[in-house]
Amino acid sequence: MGKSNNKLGSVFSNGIISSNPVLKLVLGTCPTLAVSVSAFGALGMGIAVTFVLVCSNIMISLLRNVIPDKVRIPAFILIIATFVTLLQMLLQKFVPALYDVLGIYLPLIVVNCIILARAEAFASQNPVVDSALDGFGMGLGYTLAVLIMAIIREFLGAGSFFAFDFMGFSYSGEIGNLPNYALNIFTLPAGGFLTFGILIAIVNQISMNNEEKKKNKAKTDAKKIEKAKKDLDKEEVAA
Amino acid sequence: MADNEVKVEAEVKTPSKKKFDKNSVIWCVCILVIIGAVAGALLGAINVVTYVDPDEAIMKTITSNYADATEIAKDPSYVINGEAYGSISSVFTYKVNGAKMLCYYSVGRGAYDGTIEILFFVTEDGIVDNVSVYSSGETSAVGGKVLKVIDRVKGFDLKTIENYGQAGSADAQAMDYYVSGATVTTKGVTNALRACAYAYNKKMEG
Repeated sequence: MGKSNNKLGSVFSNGIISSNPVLKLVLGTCPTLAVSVSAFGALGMGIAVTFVLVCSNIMISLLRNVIPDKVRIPAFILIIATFVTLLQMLLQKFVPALYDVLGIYLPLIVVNCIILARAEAFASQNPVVDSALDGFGMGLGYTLAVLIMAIIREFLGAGSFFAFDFMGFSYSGEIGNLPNYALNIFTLPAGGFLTFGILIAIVNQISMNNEEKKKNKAKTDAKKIEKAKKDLDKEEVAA
Repeated sequence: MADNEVKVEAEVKTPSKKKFDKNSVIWCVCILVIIGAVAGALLGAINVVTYVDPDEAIMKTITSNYADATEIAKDPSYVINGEAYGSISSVFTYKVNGAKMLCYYSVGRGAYDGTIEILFFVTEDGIVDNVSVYSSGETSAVGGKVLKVIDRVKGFDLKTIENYGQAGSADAQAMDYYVSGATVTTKGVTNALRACAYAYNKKMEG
C-alpha cells in the first residue's frame, strides 16, 4: 500500500518538478511564449491544458487495449480534439471572457505536443489512475511554469500584477507609477525568449545543485558505511 | 549446379508473401469510426446545450449597452456589401429615447487570426456611438489592445471615412486610432469600420 502510494506520488510530482514539460522537457513552447504575456491568460491556458491532459489521458488509458497500434496516433488526436472542442464550446457559452482571452491558442491545444507526448509515452501504457495523475501533474507543471513566466513578463513589460477583466470583475493590477517605466520588450516575443531562457537556466542550476548534493550525500554515506565496516572488522580482530 | 541456379532464380523471382491483413485494416477503420462517431455524438449533444443564436447574442449586447433600447429588430435592407476588406453580416435597428439607432455586425478581414467581428452602434446621422467586440481570435495581450483600438473609433463620423484605403500595415499606422503594437488588430478594426461605413453610406445614398 505504502509502495503503491509512493509510486502514485512520484507519477504526480514527476510532471511538476523533475520532468516539468516546459522548463525541463521544453515542450509546448509556442503557446507558452504566446500566452505568458498576462498572468490571467496564462492561468486560464494552464487550466485548459490540464483539463484536456487529464481527460485525454483517462480516455486513452481506458482504450489502450482496444486501439490498434497502427492507428494509435490518429486515434489519440481524435480523442484530444474532441476534448478541446468540448472545452471550447463550454468556455464560449459559460465563460466567454476566458474564451476571448485564450483566443486562437485554445483550439491549438489539439496540437500541443505535451498532450500528445503524454498520451503516447504514458497513458497508452499505464492504468487509468496513474494516467490521470500523470496528466494532472503534467498540467500543474505546465500551469506553474507558464504562470511564473507570465508574472515576470507582465510585471516587467506592463508594470502590473495579475490584471484581469473577468465576469464583471476587473482589476488593473497596476503597481504605483510602474506602468510608465515598463519595459515593452518583455511583452514581445524577444522578451518571452529571454525570460524563458533565464528560467530554464535557473531550473537547470537548481536541479544540478540538487544532484550534486545527492551525490555528495551518497558518497559520505558510503564512507560512513565503510568506516563502520572497518570498525566492526577491527573489533572482531580484537575479540 | 544447374539445379542450384534454377532454385536461386526461383527464390529471387518469388515476391515475399507478406499477407495483406484485411481483418486488421477493417479493425483499425472500425475503431477510428467508432471513436469518431462517439466524439461526434458527444459534441453534437454539447452543441445543442451551448448553442448561442447570433441574433439573440447581438440583441443582448444592444440591451446591455443601451438599457433604454426599444423596438429592436433585424433589418436586412441595411445589409449592403461591396468590397473585399470586410462584410456586414446583419444590421439591427432600435430606438433609444425615441432616437433611431443602428447596430452593424461587421466582420473585418486582416486581423490576427484572419477576421475580427465587431458591433458598431451608430446614430441615425452616422456617428459611431459605441463599439463592441463580438468575437476575435486575439490573445489576451492583443485583446487588451483591441479594446484600446475600438475605444478610439468611438465618435467617428461614418460619412467621412468612406474613402479610407484598405488598411495595410503602413496605412494602419496612419490612422487616428492606431495603437502601437497592435498594427494587425488596427487593420482588422479598420476593415470592419470601412465595411460599416460602406453599408451606411450606400443605404443613405438610396
